[in-house]
Amino acid sequence: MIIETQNLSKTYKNGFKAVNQLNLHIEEGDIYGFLGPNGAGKTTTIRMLTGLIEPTEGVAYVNQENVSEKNSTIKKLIGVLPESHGYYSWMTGYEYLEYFYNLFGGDPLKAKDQINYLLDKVQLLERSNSRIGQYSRGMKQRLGLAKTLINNPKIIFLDEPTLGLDPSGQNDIHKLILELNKSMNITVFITSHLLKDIEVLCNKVAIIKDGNLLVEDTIVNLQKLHSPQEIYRIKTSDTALAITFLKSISGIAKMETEVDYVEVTLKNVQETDLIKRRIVETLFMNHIDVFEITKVKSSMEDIFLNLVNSSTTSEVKS
Amino acid sequence: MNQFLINKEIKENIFATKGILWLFVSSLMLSGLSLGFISIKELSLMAQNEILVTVGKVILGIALLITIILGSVSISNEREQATLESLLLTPNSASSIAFGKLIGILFIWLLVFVTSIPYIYVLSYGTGLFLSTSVLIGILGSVLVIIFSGISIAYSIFLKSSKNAIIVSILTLLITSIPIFLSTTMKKAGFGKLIDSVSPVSNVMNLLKEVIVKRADFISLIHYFIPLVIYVVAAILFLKFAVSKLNFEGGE
Repeated sequence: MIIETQNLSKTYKNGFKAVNQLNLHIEEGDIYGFLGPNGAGKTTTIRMLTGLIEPTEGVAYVNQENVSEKNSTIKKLIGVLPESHGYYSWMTGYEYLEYFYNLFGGDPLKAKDQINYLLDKVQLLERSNSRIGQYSRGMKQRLGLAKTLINNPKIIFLDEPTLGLDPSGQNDIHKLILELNKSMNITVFITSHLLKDIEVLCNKVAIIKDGNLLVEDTIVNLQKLHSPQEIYRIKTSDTALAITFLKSISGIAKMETEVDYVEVTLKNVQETDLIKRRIVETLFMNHIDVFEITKVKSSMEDIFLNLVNSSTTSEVKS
Repeated sequence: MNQFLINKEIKENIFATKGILWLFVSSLMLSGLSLGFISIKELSLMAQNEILVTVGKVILGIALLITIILGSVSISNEREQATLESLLLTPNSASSIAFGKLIGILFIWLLVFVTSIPYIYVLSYGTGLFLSTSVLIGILGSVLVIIFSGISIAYSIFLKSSKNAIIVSILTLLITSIPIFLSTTMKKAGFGKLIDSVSPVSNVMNLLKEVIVKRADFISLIHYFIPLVIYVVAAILFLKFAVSKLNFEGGE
């Protein structure tokens, strides 16, 4: 495990319990999505994992080191892009990266190469001598990502990296994160409100609510185990006629028709097999050929909403 | 302490518009004052060493005002522009960040001091007081800047808002400057005497007068230096205490 927490908890001085008994498990090379509604405890967790605040209970290990005990060692291993990340607008992009390169104690002889390499990677090399004040939001976010990588970290923490970016900007950041993960084997810990980010990028996800962990699993398993509903796409020889007969089947909650198929949402996830059999039998008895029945995957948004809305604070799954 | 933190502070203080503006304003004030001493009949009749004391007070006043403003916005500005978290996530301690800012402010004072040297030279011409006045203003200015910028940076950490930190720092300066506004008689006994002897600003102004006007030697003025040394130590301890509270325990 490159990151592991054991009963990690944080209660602020005003008595607010931001994080409660959190147990996370992140392997090296993972792109780990950390989801939760506003105020769920995501940023507090990142701050505990990066040594910025102390947990009131439990332990966090990063690269097998206790974060509370080896704070300065861990800071050299990690890169962090905080949610509300500011810049010195009077500096140029190059000066900004140089500043942080030096603060991390980088080798002065390698500074220029490393900074230019990162500026090139985030497509800012041509604007490296412009003042940050003149950068667009997307450019600033890419510069922030370059700063996150300035110390060649093993792990990067990205708190809402695509917040406020247009779709093209979001796409650029996605590509960059995937490339970093693949080419440099960097473990990525990412929080995002945009569930599309998580779906595109992550192989493993944790969802928290009110500081409690609701679930931690791979995206494949989440789709298998926590889909709020079963949706099937049915292609038949006669879509219009099929709809007429499907209406009579109990257990179908909703039907949506397209030109050459019908999508049915089943009422009860536990009786999927039974309802599917009923559908096939009904259509067969009415001389309608069934060409294909495929399951439509639930989106992360469906799973997230299902888990968050149906959970109680005492419910903890793993 | 990380030299790159200090370099950045110096660069930010000097090359930003505010830095140039500070130097321009201080030069303008000293030029106006010098012109007044030469061209206004009543002022030109003042003894030259009295003029030097007045100029010394103005130089120290300008330095204090600049440094407490820079100190007050130092950490709170990092917090407000959301750069503090990134700084604290580097391997540098919060203490080196805060003391880096203190050194950056001392550098601005050095510039103000260097700018004022030609004025001291002109106004002390023929008195033989140029060197002692310059050295004294340099030392006392550095002491006051360390005390007040240390306190202001600490306020900047505690109060989190630049505006509030500036207000509280200016109030602190005003309170410690009360003895300056008291008459000589009031300062001779009772409460007036007490606050005159404990105020760092008052001790510095008395030292200026004793050395430049009365030409007393440094050794005989040791009782003025002791409170100043105590204030320097106290300001540094106060700043260290504030630094220990520099975290995100209370959120943003």
